[in-house]
Formats: sequence, structure tokens, C-alpha cells
Amino acid sequence: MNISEAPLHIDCSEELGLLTEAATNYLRDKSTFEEMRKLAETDSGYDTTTWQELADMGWLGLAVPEEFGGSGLGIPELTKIFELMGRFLFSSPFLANTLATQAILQSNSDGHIQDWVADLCSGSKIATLALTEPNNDSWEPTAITCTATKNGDSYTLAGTKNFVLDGQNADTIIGSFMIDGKPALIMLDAATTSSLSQLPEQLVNHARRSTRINFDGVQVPASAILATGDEAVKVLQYVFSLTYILLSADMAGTANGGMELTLEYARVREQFGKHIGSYQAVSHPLVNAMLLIEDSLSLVYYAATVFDGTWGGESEIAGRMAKSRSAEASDLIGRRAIQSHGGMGFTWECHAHLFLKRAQWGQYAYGDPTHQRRHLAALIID
Amino acid sequence: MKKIESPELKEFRAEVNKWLTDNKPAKPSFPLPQSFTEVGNNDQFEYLKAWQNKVYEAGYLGMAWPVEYGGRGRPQELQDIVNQEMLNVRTPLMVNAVGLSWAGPTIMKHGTEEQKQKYIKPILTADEIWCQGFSEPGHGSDLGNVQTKAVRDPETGEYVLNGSKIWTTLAEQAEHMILLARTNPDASSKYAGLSFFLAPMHAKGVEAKPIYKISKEYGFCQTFFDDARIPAESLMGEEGHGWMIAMSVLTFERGVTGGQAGGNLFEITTVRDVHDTAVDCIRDGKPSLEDPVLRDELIDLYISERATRLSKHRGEHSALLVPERMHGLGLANKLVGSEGRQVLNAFAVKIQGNQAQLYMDDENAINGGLWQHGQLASFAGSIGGGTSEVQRNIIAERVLNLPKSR
Repeated sequence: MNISEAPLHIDCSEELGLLTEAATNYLRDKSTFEEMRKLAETDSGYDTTTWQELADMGWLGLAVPEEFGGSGLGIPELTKIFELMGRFLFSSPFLANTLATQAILQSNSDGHIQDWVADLCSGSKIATLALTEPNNDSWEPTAITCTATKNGDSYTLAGTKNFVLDGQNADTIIGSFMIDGKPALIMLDAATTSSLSQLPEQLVNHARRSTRINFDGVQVPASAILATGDEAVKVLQYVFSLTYILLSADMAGTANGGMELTLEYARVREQFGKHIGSYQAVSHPLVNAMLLIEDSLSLVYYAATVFDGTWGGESEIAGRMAKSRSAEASDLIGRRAIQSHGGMGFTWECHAHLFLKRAQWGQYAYGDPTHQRRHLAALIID
Repeated sequence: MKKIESPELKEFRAEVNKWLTDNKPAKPSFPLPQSFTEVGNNDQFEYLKAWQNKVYEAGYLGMAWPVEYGGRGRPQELQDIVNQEMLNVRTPLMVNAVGLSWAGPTIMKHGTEEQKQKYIKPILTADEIWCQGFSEPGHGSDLGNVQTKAVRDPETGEYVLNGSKIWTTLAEQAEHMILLARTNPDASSKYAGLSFFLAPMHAKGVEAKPIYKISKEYGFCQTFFDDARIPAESLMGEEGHGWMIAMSVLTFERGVTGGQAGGNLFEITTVRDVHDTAVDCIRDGKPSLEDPVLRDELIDLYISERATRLSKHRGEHSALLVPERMHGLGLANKLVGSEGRQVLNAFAVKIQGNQAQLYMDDENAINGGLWQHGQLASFAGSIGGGTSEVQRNIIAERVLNLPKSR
């Protein structure tokens, strides 16, 4: 059994403590149920004024080195922000933009870094990734069937991507394509590829925005290529690994939010002459959910501590463990939230369903628990 | 900002590891218990007692307790390292568990100078074994309803005990018992009538009878008090303070760290152990570890094990705790640990397929039936010291702030 003697520690910088306090206050104030429900009814799903505030606070480039216009903090700080966004059900293209920014940085393509990263940190541009495909519904980063074929000085694209986060809000889309049988990352400027056939998807989490894009016949210049071959595989693995952690943090936070909503209700709602929270049939499942959430948080912070974006070692193991457990935690509390609210929990008006829906989205994006454990088994048992 | 062990601590860890490896006693011909609650015969007892004494003499037990009572007066972090290395090297457990982890810290916290002088050192050397008299046959771990009576004899000042305590681990071998008894049946509340005693087990009228368990072993006792007279100075604190002191014992018992003498009280079995068993297991003609469902379950257990260990480290950073439940991790320790062991043992039986039916006495049993035994023994953890159901009530009320269930 391949159990590495990994250091049992979790990082917590002084900056993280301060950031936690500031971010909690900001998001609690900004991301009210009323506000998030209002945004869920809009096409874009986010508020541009708030987005600019995130930029001004340095969050859009939180884990981007200062020399490229970022705040120069690390993955643990970024992780904490995601947890709190989940906690308050905050909606925005933050995940899409963060992942795309990190992909550009990891590509080592100086031109793209110079052209884009500062703008993505300042909020003037938004970027996203187009990685998964309806063709195979695979969660493997290199299971790519979309192609880019050289055609004189340019490349002709073919194939369809789905779950392109905030595709409708993005100024640039980084997609994965095969060039001569090898993976490549190509960066499309939405402004210069107006012919893009992009359709919004209807997600179970109606606070999220994503699109399905058909690239058939789209022409891009050679300069659009961000990375190819092994370099592209490394970037893809880095992005997937980071996504495991950030989505896990979002789900653990969502679980905490669902827990608080449910506890508040269970403390005051009376049935059969007693507060429902005094019935063990109500309280004990909530204790079980709490234990899963505590597991998740420990795994998430640990994954953020040991993250290096590579596959095959502790970084990958930690990310997949976090994703598996956080998905289960947020799913369980999402269900308990609805059930514990009784008849009200079944209504649109009650907030309980918002937590289950956010949990569902996070669970199935980038690999569900079964998928993660299958990969872990190969890493650990064999 | 990475937390790295100082060179001095690293050196100490290496020194401890070497000493434990060099001095670990040879495996005996009889099976050793996996928990101090499973010490079932005198061979096991003497073997474990000698080991504890050796560890103490080497200076690796009671390291953070004051020198004047027999401790070593050194920083707690050194004892923590010793505890970790005991698990790493897989040394036998500390037999005087009740003394080291519950009675000892309680005496240090609430006892008089005289009591500390008298009791602490023999706890460390294992010369005087301690048992715990809290639960009673009629009330389980509902301690507010303790009925064992302690009546003060106004002439001699002695207390006269009548009643019975159950699940008194090691009562037959013990010199002393931490005892919760009712001194005033007419007190303002049921809690106010309780007092705490450091009671001698060799008094006339005290009798310990071993209990035969589902695992086909002895290890627990029922202790009977029949007009047993114990000296006045057995009382700890004042009359009526029993509940308060008992609660502080439970804090130590439920695993909140700090104050205990140290040492491992259980043999920790891990997912790696289960895996090592699984490697040799066949189910339905194929290696168990090729079964995708079992693989999935094994990895789920692995994730749980990692998470539980990591949670201890997370507790060191308040910024990484959920503000609404800062004490959640500490209070959940016992529940998570005992249920985790139960699930792990049950899984280790399951992977054995057809062989899972065999028990310890069968020579063909995989690993000598260790896991079949562990599965049965694991109920001690989910029942003793307050059942898992009681633990959930406690967490629901104190951590989740839900209304009381009673």
C-alpha cells in the first residue's frame, strides 16, 4: 500500500486569519439570500459593481504574483475565499476567472501572460476554460476529442465543449484540443471569434452560468496556442488539481451555510409541543453531517497546504480526498436542510434548496466521489 | 510558514524511536489485548505492567508531570512525541490507563498535596493500578442517577459504602478506584448529593467479579460494596462536589488532551493493517483487492483516517475552525474514534469472504481471527464512557446549540 509518510500539518499564515475576517464580513453583507436570488434571475448571474470590488480588494489576483498584477498570496488564502463564497452562496465568474488565470500563468507563455493576466486581475477582462466534452463525458483532463488542424498560418477547430463556466460572461476562452494527436491549449479571444456557436446551459444550480460551445470551423491564428504536448498536459493537471481543492472548499463552505440555516430553524420550530431540534431523529443526522463537514475542512486545508499541481503524488491524493469527502458532506447537509424544514423545505421560497443545488453542481463538476476514489485506489492500493 | 520540528525535537524523536525499538518486549506466546479494557488474564497483566514500568524508568512517562510527585517536569511536547512514537513503533499499551489518563490528571487538578504525594508516583510505575467506579447496573452512563451510597460514620469519620459499580476494568488487579457515590440522598438536586472518592479496593466488603464478554474474554468486572468501610481521607474535594469532579474526569476520558501522563492506551489499527490483511484475502475466487466495490470502501476508510488525524492539527489554528463551533472537534473525538474503529474492523472481516466465519480459536482464521475479535471488542468503544448516542446528544446540545433532547 502506497501510503506516503506525508507531513501532518496544515498551513495557516497571519494573512489568512486577517483575510478570513475581512472576507466573512464582506460576503455576509454582500451576498444576502435576497441578492443571490435576484442575480439568479439575470442572464449573467453576477453583479458588475461587486465584481469590480473583488478586483479592488485584490481577490481576482489573490494567488497571482505581484509582478503580474496580483496580490501575491498563496493557495491556502485562495481556498479560504472559496470556502466563504460557498458559505454565503456567492455567485460570480470567480472560479472560471481564477482557474483560467492560473492556467495562463502555468503555461509559461510570456506573451499571453503579458497580454492577459493584469487585465484578469483588475477585473477589466474575464476568462474561462473549456475542458470537458459531451462526446465522452469524461473527467480525465486529457480525454480530448476536440481537434485543431493546421491550415496554412492558422488552425481550424472542430468539436464541442460543455460546462464552459461563465462562457457567456467571458472575454477569452481557453480550450483543450488535440493537435496531431497531442493535447494543446488554445486561447480564443471572444471578441475576434464572433462566429462562436455558444448556447447557455440550464444547470441544476440556477445561480451558476455555463455554456455549450460548438467549435466546428472556427479559425484561430497560431499565436492563440498557449501550450502543447507535455507542457499542455502539465497545465491541465495543474488546473484540475486546483479545481478539486477550490470546489471542495466551495462545497465545504456551502455545507456550513446549509448547516447554519437548518440549525436556526431546528432551534425555534415547534412540532408536537417541542422544538424539533430536541428530537434525536432530527439532531443526530445533523451531528453526522457536522462530522463530515469537519472532515472536509481538514482535508481541504491540508490539500491547499501540500498543493503543487502535479499528479502522481501527495498533492493529487490530497485534492481527490478533499473532493470526495466535501461532496458527500455538502450533499448530506443539503438534503437534511430540505428534510428538516418539513413542508416549507419543499417550497421555492425556503432557502434550503439553494444549498443542495450548489452542492450538486460542485459534486459533479470535475469528478464525483466515486470517480475520485477510483483514482485514489489506483494511487494508493496498487 | 510551514511548521517544522526543531532540530532538538527531531533528535529527541529519533532517540525515543531508537529506545522503543531496542526495548520493545518480545512478542509473548499468548495474544495481547488491543485495549486496556481487554486485559483478560494474569499473563497479559504482568507482561503489560512490566512494560509500563520499564517505560517510566526510562523517563518516557509522566514527562510533563511535576518532579516532586514522580513526573519528569519536562515540556508536554516531548511526551506528545513519545506517544506518537509508541504508535509508530507499535509498542504494547499502557496497562494503568485509568490511572495515567483519568485518575492521575484528576488528582493533579483537584487533589490535596498529600493525595498527590501518595498516589501519583505509583500510577506512573504501575505499582498501583486504578479502576473507575462510575457506571452502575441500573443506570449505565447516566451518572446523575448514581445510587451507590457512601454514609459517613460520625464516630470514626469513615464512609460506609453499599451498592455496586459495573464495567470496572481491571478491578481485580486494582489498588484504588475513582468512585462516584451518593453522600446525600436529600440534596437540593440529584447532582448535589454526589461525592468523589479515591477508594481502596482491598477494604473488607469490596468484591470484584469478572464479567464474561461477547469476545469470549474477561476484562470488565462488576464491583460490589457490602458495608465496606473506607477512611475519611478517601474523599476528594468536599462532599457534594462529586459531580463537578466527575465531569472533569469525563473531559480527560473523552480525549480532550492536556494533563494526561501519556502513553498509548490502545493498539491503533489502521487502514494499512486492513490492507495488509486484504492482500491475502480471496473472495469468490479472486483477490479481494480487485473487487471495485471493496476498493471503493477501503479508500473511503482511508480518507476518514487521514481526515481524523488532520483534524487534530487543524485544531491548532483558530482561523481554521468554524467560528460557530470552536469546540466541535474536541468533543467529537471519542465518537469519531470509536465509530471509526468499529467500521474499520467490520470492513476487515468483510474482505475475508468465506473465511470471515472463523474465530480466534481456529488455526485457519486469517490473522488469528484478530479482526473478528476486534469487531466484537469495538463495541466497548461505542458503548463505554457514554454511548455514541449520548455523544451525539452532547454534540447536538453543546456544539450545535440545539435544544436538550430530554
